[in-house]
Amino acid sequence: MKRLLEILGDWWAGLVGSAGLPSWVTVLGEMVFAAILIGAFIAVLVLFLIWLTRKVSAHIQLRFGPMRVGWHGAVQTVADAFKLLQKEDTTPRVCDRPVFNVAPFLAFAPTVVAFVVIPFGDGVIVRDLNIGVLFLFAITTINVIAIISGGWASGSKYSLLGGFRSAAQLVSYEVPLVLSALGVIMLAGSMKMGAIVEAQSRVWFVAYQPLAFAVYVIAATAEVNRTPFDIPEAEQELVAGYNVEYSGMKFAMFFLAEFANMFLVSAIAATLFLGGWRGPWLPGELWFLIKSFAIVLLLMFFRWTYPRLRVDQLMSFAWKFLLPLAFVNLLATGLIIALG
Amino acid sequence: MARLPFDQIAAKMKDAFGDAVVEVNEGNKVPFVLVEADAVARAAHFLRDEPELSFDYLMYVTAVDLPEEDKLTLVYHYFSYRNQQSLMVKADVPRRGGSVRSVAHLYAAAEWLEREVYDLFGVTFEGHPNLKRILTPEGFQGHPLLKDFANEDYVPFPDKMPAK
Amino acid sequence: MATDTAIRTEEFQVNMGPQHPSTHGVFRMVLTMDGERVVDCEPHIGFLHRSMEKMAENRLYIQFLPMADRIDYLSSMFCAVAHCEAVEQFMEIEVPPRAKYLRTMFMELNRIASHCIFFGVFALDLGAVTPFLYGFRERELTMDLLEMTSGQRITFNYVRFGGVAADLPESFFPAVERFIKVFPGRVTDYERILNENEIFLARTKGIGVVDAARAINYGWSGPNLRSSGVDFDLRQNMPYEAYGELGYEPVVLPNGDCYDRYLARILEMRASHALIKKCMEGLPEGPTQKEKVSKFPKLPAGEVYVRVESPRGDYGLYLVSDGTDKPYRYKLRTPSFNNLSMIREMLRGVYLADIVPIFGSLDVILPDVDR
Repeated sequence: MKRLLEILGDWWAGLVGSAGLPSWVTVLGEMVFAAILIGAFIAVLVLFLIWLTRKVSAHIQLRFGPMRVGWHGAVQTVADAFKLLQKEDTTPRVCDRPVFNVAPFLAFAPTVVAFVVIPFGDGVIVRDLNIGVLFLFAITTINVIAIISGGWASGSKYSLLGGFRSAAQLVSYEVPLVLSALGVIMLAGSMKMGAIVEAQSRVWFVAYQPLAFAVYVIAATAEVNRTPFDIPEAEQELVAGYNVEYSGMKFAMFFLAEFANMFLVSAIAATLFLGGWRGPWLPGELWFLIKSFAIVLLLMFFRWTYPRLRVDQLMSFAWKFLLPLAFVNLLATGLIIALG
Repeated sequence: MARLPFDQIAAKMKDAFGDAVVEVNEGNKVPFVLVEADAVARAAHFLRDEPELSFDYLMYVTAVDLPEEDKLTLVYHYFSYRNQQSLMVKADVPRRGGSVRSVAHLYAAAEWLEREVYDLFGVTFEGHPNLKRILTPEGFQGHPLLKDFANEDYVPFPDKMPAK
Repeated sequence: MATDTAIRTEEFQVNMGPQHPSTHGVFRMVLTMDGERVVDCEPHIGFLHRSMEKMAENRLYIQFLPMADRIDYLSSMFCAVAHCEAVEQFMEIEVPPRAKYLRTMFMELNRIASHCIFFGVFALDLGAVTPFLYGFRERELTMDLLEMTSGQRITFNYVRFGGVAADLPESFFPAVERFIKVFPGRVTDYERILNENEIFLARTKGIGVVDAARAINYGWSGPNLRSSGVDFDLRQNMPYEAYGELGYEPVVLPNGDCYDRYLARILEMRASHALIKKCMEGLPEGPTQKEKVSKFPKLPAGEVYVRVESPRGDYGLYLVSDGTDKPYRYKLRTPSFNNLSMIREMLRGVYLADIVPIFGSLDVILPDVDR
């Protein structure tokens, strides 16, 4: 994979050079190429994830799930995606139209951007920024704005409540999430994703940072609004939360963002704690996917097993339990590093 | 569990209310005490708070329409969890514009039960906190469980439907 | 619950229902909210009012029999038994013992079916989707048994004046054996998935607490009342059908919160299972239908009141006859109606998210409320 990308890059640079074009064309071309690759990856990934969710939930619930379209319903999601594309795009009369239209894309865009710093394999990374982890957490937070604006612009009290809850939840859980990642950064001595994976070449960080890993997984579950923290879209109370008024392709965008986000947090967990793409025998890209999907499955098992917390319990859990835990972990890590 | 037989309960009620107790019927499959309409709430209070009786539970309130005798019979069916016995108290009111004191301040259950009787029979309950229709929609005309409710000229929503 | 802070908050109204996924039918609440807190709640019922009582007045007793099944479609056996018992009391006939046992057994099977739905829906209300399908798995077992005998899965139309419609078919016996064998294990499944779950406990313990006095005052009955600590069950205290011979120990729990109301139903499933077992063991031989009972009875003038312990509580039927072949007055005292009447008081001051478990734990069913 790395070789392939290098050959492609050289060929492209050579092409641009021989045509006598300025060097920024090279960068532009690489960016377009990366965008297409990531876009295609996310599209396929989400289709697969939706199918996987349905199958996993079905088997937990003594059902079969989709069985008719393709092998064990494998192309069911493709059919569903086409159905969603054809649906009428309804807009409520009282909505704030520009915000209402922009919100779904605002939800989806940061997720795509975040994939820029995810190391899929050895050297298979769009840009290994030296502030990789920071960039990641910063860019995924934009999601909150999309959810709030979507909830507010719909002009429905249910979606407004959903949006507010979501904002409160995401902001609260962002703190322990980042704190748990800090321990890893301290150990690795870098915020560069590549360097973090490099630092785990002998032992995975989950062995040094089990507490941080636990905090991360819990906070990440909340961050992507999965049960037991799926309060923003608590369908029993708020019908569907912030996206209740959306339909057709705009709803699909929210849906897409949700599933892509689920994979994203799992990929981050795999990179920060489980050694990223490193692993014996198999190619790095495969190892990365295996580890990421292990976390995805964990999140799915949570989802189909647990009831939902109440909003105040959720908050007190974040601030009174997770946050102190993350601090203790940070302190302990610091002490161990200082004492050598 | 000091369960009083029906005739003793009826005797107690007679002592307490005198002439307001119109009839004591033991022959019925469900023995009942018929009281004056204005004694319904007083009787409820007595039945609930008299220690020997302690009818703490109002099972239901309903009415029976008797057009031939031109009256509605209100039926209050009490139950006592302590003594595990029930008592039916009846009261006659006029078919149109009948009115009795509400027992909702004694039995919270009566709030909805009395609303139902108001809705379906048109009996008003004085002192009821929120006497509105409960089963039929807002703006509904008439009281469906009266025997002469259905006739050809009947229009349930005069303000929403064109006249025939 | 307005607080004295610098930020001024404004109350707003939310309309919950009648089309809302967790109102169990069509129930509408106009909620006045202060943020996530409920300040006031105005319940609206009657969306499912089918004028059952008026319809009964215009139908022969036998014609209303299948209608009675539809009053509370999750426990239709109880409505039909109440109807038949009322008619039998007028006719002063005694049901053959085998028919009594069959009625009792099918009522208990129906109760299990109803509680299974409660279990599934209650968990679903709290956001756990999986128990819903577990509940329906066992409901399917009971439905199969009921279908074998009555030919129907939900509205059975099985009870008749003076007996039941059909005796047990041959295939019923191995099936019920199997059911008796597997069911306790399945209830253990239920208990393992929810009873000790930390999140489930946090959501239900101490939520929607109702003490015994208040529950009685509001006319509560059934598992709701018993989970508030009142030891009263018609099956034990005023036995009807075969309950007197079988004996029954009611499930009584002390706390009166959502968790106890949930647990009461889980324990009642076990109790019902034991009753079904006893019924099968002690099933007497003999006819299932008393002979020479008129199918189109003219009842003597008078009135009766019949009480049946339905899965939702004390189901009562006040039947007035004027000596014709149709009821003169057919008053249904449905337990859900009374159980629901407290909802306004229960919801004041709770969180929006608690509305759903509180409402769900009452196990009301809207056709039973609206009739």
